[in-house]
Amino acid sequence: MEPYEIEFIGENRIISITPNFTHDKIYLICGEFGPFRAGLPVNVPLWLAIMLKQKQKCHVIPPDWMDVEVLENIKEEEKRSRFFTKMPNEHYMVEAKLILGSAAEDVPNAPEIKTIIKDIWDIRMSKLRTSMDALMKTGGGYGRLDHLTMMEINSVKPLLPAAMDNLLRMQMKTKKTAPSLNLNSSTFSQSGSSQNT
Amino acid sequence: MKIESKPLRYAHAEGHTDVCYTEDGRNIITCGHDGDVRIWMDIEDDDPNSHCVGESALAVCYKDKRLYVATDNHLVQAYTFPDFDKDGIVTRFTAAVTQIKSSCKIEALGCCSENMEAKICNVEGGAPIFVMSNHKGPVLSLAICPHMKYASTACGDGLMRIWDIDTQKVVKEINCVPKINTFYAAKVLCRMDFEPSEGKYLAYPSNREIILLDCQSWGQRMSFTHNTIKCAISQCLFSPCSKYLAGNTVAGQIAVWDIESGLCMGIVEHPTSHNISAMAWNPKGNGVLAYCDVAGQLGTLVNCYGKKSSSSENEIEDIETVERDNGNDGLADDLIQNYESDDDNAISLEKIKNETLGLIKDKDDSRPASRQTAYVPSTVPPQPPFQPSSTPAHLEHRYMCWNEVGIVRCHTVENGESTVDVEFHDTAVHHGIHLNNYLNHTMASLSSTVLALSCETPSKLVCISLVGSSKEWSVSMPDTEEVLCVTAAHGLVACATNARLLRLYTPMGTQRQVISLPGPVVALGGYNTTVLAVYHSTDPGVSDQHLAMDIIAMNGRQVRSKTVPVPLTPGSKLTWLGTTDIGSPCTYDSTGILRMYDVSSGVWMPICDTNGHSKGASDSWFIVSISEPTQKVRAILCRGTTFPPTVPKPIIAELPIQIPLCEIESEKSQYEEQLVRWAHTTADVDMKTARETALKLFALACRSEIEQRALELMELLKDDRLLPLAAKYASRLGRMHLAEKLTNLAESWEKETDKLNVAQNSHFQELDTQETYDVTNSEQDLNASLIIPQKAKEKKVENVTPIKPVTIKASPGGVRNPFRKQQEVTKCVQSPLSLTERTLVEVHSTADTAENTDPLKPLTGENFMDWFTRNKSLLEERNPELTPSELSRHCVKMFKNVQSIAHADSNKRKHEDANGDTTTSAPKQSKLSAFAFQKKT
Repeated sequence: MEPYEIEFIGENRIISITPNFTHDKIYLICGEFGPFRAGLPVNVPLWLAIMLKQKQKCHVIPPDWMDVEVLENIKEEEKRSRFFTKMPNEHYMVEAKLILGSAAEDVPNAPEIKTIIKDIWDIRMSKLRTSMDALMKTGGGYGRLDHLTMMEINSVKPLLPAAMDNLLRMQMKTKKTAPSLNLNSSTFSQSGSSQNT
Repeated sequence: MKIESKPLRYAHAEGHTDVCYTEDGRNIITCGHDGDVRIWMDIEDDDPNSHCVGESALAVCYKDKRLYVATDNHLVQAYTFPDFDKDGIVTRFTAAVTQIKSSCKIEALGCCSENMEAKICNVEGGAPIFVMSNHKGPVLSLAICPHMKYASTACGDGLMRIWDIDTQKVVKEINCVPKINTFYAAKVLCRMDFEPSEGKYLAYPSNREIILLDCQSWGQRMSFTHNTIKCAISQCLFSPCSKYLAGNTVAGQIAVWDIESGLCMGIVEHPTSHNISAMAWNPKGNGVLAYCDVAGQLGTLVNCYGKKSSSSENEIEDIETVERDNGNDGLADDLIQNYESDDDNAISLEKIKNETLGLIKDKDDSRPASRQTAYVPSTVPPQPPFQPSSTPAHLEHRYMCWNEVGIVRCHTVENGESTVDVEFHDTAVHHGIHLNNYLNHTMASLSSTVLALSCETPSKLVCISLVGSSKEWSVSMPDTEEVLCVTAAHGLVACATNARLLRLYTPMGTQRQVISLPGPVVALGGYNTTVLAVYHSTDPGVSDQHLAMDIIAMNGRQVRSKTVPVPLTPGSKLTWLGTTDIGSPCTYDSTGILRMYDVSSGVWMPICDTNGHSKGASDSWFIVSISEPTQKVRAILCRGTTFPPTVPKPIIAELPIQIPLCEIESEKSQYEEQLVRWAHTTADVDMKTARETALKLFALACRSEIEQRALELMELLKDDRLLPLAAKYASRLGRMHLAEKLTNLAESWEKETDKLNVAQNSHFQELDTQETYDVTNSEQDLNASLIIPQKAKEKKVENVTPIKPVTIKASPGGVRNPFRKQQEVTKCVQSPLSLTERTLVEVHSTADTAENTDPLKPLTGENFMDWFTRNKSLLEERNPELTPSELSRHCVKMFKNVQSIAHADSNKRKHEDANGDTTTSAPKQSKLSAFAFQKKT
């Protein structure tokens, strides 16, 4: 899956906007939305919100978690925890990118929020990389990671399965030469301590 | 002799402030939250000696030419006096020291602390004489008897303990202290006092009274209170002569009692009702009491008791000076004014308040507030004028107006330049406006057609028309007249001035009318061509203001007014005034109750209690608009404030309109609430839902075995389609008796309708006929009755709005067609209490108009000729005064009117045009049709 496909999926999230026009309900495949009343908040899919914002037809109301304090807490939590913490939103990266990209003026402290979200992303990515590294080094064939978002999983997709594949192939070869090697003994689990090894 | 309160003055930063006198009574010593100890020669000493002792200082005590100060590092530090050099540490605690107390007869110092301990120490330091532990909370205060026999402590765990110092045991425990877990949060400090000369009594505050204990038996001897004391007493203090007792409440009242007689010598209110944090009697016994409040201010009361007790020449002079001042107000004022200008800090709080609240400055205001309250102690101040849905004018970024049309913001930069920007919710109304605020406008009002701005001095009204190309117009107020309130409506701009005039303008700047208001204006609101003006009808009473509202409707050249009193929750202020989106006047008061005035029935109804929706106690709601069709109040939740911030942009929430019926959780009340609400507001509910609710309520009554109530309900609702359903339900339940009665009811209704020959139903028959009668009257003489036609007009205004599609009718041609108007009016004015008015009749009218109610309505696709032949006889009958050609011309117009029913919005304007030039604009077509008509007959 490509990142833009994930973005496409993420765009179905519902967010609130205040439109600056009045319109009846609209009927979409994903449901009916509206009626739009100027100045009053209404829930719409993210893609519609972004489209309206680009046409300057609405103000985006930032989601609750898009707040410096909340994000700082998440960041601290993420830093402290050895494991992945639960993100406020399955598509936080997509949502943040779209909202901050096209409706930054509607979000208070947008630059700070951008930085914090990037930090969180970096922390999580480096965690992901170290655990992958650990998995590889221990030669395990199985890993369990909770609370990973779709985008994060996708970021390692081009690399991890291929690497595992190659690893397996190499192991198969060595197995042929030295059949006594035990393959299944080591597994990798997030809840285990292998992350530190 | 009356107790005089000298003006308060700034002594320390805000926070707990302590005060004591030197033993000779010459100096007042204060310490406060800013960490300074100040030595004052007198209350009027402008240059007190300040000494910094740390970050903060909580308590101070003077004894034998030494000062003992509780500093922020939790120790009791001794200082020499008057040199103020450090002179050793008396004792240390592990938490803040809350009080240091001693008296002239004992050679020890009592200290108590937050760390649940109190100590009696030697003044020279060293090991404490007695440590009182076993407290289960912070010790708030202590007292030692003059013979060093007993001590008492008040602790945050709720108990006052009396200790025997010799045996070091608790003698008695009394539960009188409000529980608190820190001294800093304590309002009631529970400061007790032993009678200073003999130590026979111990006085302690207990809720709203001060209780005197006998130190032998520890039995209650006396209690002191006063009927104006409404809240808990925090401290009490014996005068040095032991004859008087001073006490203060948490609301800043200070009272002095004569102990022998038990009479209250006087009670003084704190001008700003701040809690008193400390009191001290002048040891000279001259009746002077110094006190400090939690805002860090120092004040004194003089003449608390007679001068007969020991007094030197010097003091008599002092007091006499004061009396002289009082005798001559002008002189006193001058003095105080000078004094004010000398020391800006002293009264600045008061000043700022006056400025921000926009209180009118007259001469009385320059007086110190304490005196003013002494003269008129119990009336509430009349509230100053305000703009609905605006935020305070002193803010750098503020909302001048936020309503259903848009938002007007004002931004002021530091050099005083300000800009106004207008954002429309619906950009289709108008694009945003940004303008420089050269004139320093402070008031703004926005409607869909016009933006009105106004400034105070020199007063000017500037309006920007939003229709077509933006055109700006302005008018200056004459001479010294100042605009106090301004409002813009769809078809009107109004401003109220300090000359108590209401000036009305059209949106394009024609001066329409000047109206004298009966009282000082509070706020203005508007809808279409109607202005709401709220003013003080009389001076405020003891707890409430008396507000009244004029509803002034402009219709063409006619003006009609109706005055209604404005209800307020006790002790509250009006904070918002406006109309719903279909024009019912609404008010919102500072306690969070939203009320709506039902024009047709003439009653005020509470429609929303916003307190139920806020999360914290200090949250409030800022009303933006009210929508009747959707039954929602649009408001902004302000956390901890009364107004929303400009950044980040607040989000509008929608609160449901709910009539506060009793037991609202019960099913029955909920249905009842819906029916009442739908009957009195123009809700967007279809008949089916309303009938369903009514039937559910009926079913509830049936099931709970109250047949009479079920019957009564049906009588009340008077809906002939509901009745069969109800009868069916009743018979199915086996209540044949009820079913029978219901059928009878239906029959009697039929008879009634036959008799009255009116198409609509109402259960207030009397009222209904009465009104019909009134309207007929007014048709004959338009000026005879003011109120009823005005009501009708209000209703008509409703009719024009596009939101209520069913009732829309062609507005009658006014004077031209009296019969039609009457028909209209009877339909509109009837009592809306019954469910039928807005719902049932609407259904009828759409369904049956072609046959019954309005035969003039053209059938679809029918052209003028067909319509005219069909209705000719009727039309002739209605317009007997017209000649055939006139009739046909008139009918062409009428046909057009009835055709354009669907375009209700533009309809009205068309009518006005038509009325304006009936004679001149006889179009060609009408001539032709007249011809055709002649041919046909």
